[in-house]
Amino acid sequence: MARQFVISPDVNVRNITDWFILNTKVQRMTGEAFHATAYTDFADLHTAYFDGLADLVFANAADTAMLVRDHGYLPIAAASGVSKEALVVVSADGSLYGLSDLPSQLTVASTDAPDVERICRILLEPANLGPADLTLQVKPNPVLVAKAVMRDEVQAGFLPQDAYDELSDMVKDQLRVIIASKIYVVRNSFLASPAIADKIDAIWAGLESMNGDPGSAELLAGLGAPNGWERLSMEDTRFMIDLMDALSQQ
Amino acid sequence: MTSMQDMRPEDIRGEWREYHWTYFDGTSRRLLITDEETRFPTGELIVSQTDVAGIITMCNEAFVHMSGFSHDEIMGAPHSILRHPDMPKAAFADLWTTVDQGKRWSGYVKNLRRDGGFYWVYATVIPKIVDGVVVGHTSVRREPSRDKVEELAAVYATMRAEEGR
Repeated sequence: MARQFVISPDVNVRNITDWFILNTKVQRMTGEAFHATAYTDFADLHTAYFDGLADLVFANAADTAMLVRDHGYLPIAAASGVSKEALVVVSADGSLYGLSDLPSQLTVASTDAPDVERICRILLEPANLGPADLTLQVKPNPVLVAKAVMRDEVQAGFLPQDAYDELSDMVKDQLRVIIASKIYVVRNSFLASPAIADKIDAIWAGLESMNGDPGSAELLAGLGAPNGWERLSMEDTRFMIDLMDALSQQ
Repeated sequence: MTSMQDMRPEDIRGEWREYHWTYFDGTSRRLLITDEETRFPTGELIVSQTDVAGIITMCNEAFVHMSGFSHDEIMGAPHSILRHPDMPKAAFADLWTTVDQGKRWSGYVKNLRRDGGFYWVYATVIPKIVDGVVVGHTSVRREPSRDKVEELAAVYATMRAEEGR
């Protein structure tokens, strides 16, 4: 039976074919059949996790914490020098220019990416906006988050920095960034389920061989790892778990 | 690494006043305190880890910047090197009682800088647990609401008065 390579909705859809190319490489690295599935929403992704249908995962930080702590997943690698950042946007036509302008109750559009939501909620804390002060509307993708803000369906939107960067100039002109994270330590991680623990060394060797290979440069850029991959230790992952725990608003 | 050496006038920026501070382990240190506040860098997080003895084992660039120490000075130093005398002892007692039970603690903290100034944070401290054993603590500080800072500064002043300080 083929192993499952799970592609998270965090991954830029524009580059989705690059992830299928990587899946082909993973099959060569391991000598095993992997079936790649690109999920478009987190509910389906999390169902796959709980149903044991995710052997190889490129997970966001919040899912990394959950998978390693609760399901025994093992760290393999992370994109070198790349961190996950997020920002809060409002309509460029509106009267909100900074945190101090925000009302005491705020409607927000967001995808269901848990790490982006967690970061953005924290960015709003200095404005005295806590969990009870936000009404969240979940949108299927960052483009629809931006549209909800532009159409004044909500007062603010939570976006991952990379998704914002890829919005068209026409869309960006209609948005105003009121705060952006500069956290540097939140990262996506390649993880292996316990069922493929014996394949980790082979997968890492394959990923490492892409580093510095001119023929892989374009693929690495498309995967969001322009500087290549770096080995992720369990200690690194434990730190990510602690960080995500600390950032949750309890 | 920096041990708990006395603060030196040549390191201080601005007018200072002097305290002799005794820590929980009985050691003491000369503190030189100013009223210069460094505001939390918007959008950033201050992150550090300590071992069970409270010795700093890891910190990020924002921690280094806000503390005023160099990375080499702060690594291996006791975390209490950042303790500001305006913080009530009861606040830290609550912190340690909570994390010693394996629970997370969150609260507003006024920290001391190397140059005698201070910075406010909203801190969360969680135990770092490996194989069921607490091996240290992870601390993440984020930008506090200024309303909360004003509120807590007054609360801490009352608590200090109750502690006879």
